[in-house]
Amino acid sequence: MTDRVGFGWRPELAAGILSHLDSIDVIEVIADDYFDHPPRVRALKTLAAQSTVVLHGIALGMASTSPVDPKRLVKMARLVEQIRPESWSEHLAFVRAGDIEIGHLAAPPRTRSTIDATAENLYQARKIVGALPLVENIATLIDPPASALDEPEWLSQTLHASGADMLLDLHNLYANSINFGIENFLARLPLHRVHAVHISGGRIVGERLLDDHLHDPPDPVYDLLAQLAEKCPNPLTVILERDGSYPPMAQLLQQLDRARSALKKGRHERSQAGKISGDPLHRPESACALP
Amino acid sequence: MWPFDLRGPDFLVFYLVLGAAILTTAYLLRHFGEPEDAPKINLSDPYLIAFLRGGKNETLRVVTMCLVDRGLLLASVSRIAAADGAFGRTGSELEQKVIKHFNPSSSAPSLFKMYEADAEMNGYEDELIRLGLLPDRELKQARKIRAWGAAAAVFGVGLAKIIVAESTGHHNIFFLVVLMVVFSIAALAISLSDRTRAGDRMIDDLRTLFGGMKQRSAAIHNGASPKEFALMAAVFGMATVPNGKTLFPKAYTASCGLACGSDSSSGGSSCGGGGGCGGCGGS
Repeated sequence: MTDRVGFGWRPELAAGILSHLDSIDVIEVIADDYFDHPPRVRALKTLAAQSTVVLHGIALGMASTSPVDPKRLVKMARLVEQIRPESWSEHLAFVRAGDIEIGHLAAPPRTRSTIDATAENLYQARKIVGALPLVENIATLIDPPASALDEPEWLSQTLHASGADMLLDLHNLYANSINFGIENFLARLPLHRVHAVHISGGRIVGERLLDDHLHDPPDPVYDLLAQLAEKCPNPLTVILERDGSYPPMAQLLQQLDRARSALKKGRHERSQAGKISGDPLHRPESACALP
Repeated sequence: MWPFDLRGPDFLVFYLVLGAAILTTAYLLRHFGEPEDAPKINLSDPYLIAFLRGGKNETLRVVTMCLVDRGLLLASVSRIAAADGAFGRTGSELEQKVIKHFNPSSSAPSLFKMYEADAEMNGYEDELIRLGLLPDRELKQARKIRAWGAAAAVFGVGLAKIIVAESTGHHNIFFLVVLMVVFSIAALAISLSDRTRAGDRMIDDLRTLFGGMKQRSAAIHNGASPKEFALMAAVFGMATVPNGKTLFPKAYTASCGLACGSDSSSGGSSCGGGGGCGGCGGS
């Protein structure tokens, strides 16, 4: 079992990431930045020759009762074909209503109908792109009105209905836990479906924790990572997200080291538990693996 | 109709078409004759990238700028001197040789007459040839044949027309001579570039990937983040480096002259940009 850690690619961090590839296992690239931009795609292919690359979508709007736009899926499929990433991912969010772009990842009402619609959108994505995306939980400052389920239940049922595996954003989970008083969030998720992880930081705005990606991941996020590594049977790919207020590269690399340490700690706990129970580690294949 | 019998303006049109066809052919032969796929390259050694971009002199300039940024070399208006204890602060043999060159002090341009680092430079060249980013001997030979063949074709046809024109008492050959020179130079330039197509692509792609670095460059100079800065200097050259004028004496940039790196297409040429480079982590 090999866990890996890496960065979300940001142009501002380009030199820092490329000059420290010996300390970085994987790079996650925002796919939408490369649609319809051949020179950037060419550069991305060169990047993919230097390190393992995974693609991350931000604007498909999978968690919506509106059908996902097939043109956007075709663009994603084209990029996947060109770059041959290890996997691709997208958020469980809606980003537009009708023709109006929200410009934000918004949480849908947590109901049976959004679960079914999301599963249908993910089915279309699999058909066009060739593999299901890993789907990511989002942070929200508003508990979606008209919801019948809480977030862990909605996420679990959505994963079950779609067959997709999960990119678990631990800071989003932490923020929503604090903002809405969700208890045992991590334990209530189907952790055998988690294959990738985002870690990041945020700040308190009023009485809410805002996931702004401008701060270092707080201690509880590393604690959650250790807990996840203890419970999850899959090799994990952990991506540190940072969208601004960039500290020196050395500081970011220290955060990767902290993630490695948390993973190691969790895996140690898991192996101890495995020895006691005698159960072999279960390592299921991801339904989101690209051919 | 025999083209040499065409009247002046008509022949110029014919010659323009012929020249364009020859240049296009030369370009296509290079385009389809050399692979473009980028290989995996050691990006933790910024000097390898500097060598790919600008050869030996550019590499030595980047090394020097890196050492200045890290305080291992001290730059004044006309001279560069090794700092106390500089030798022990780098494990890179190349950097140690450059420090030794400036110990106790030496004029900046003297760097380009330094031969002690030739072993490292040859190593970089061999590695880049192995990766297919610089042309090997065979490719260079093939390019030479193509280049001189194309140049001879455009020049020969023009020369033949001049002889015919002179023999019939026509002396208005100015535009033809201009076209002959332009086409010949273009044919040589197309076929005889320093890098392979994959090498050109590697530099272009790194520049594309580094497109957002400007917003961050102010935070990584003066030794704050040596590896980042070295790679940035290697990819773009001195012109992109903040505080370059402070770090590097004007004499240094002004005097590099023909010794400058060969990359003139970047707008980030290492010569005369008044830039400097940050630190590096070349060790």
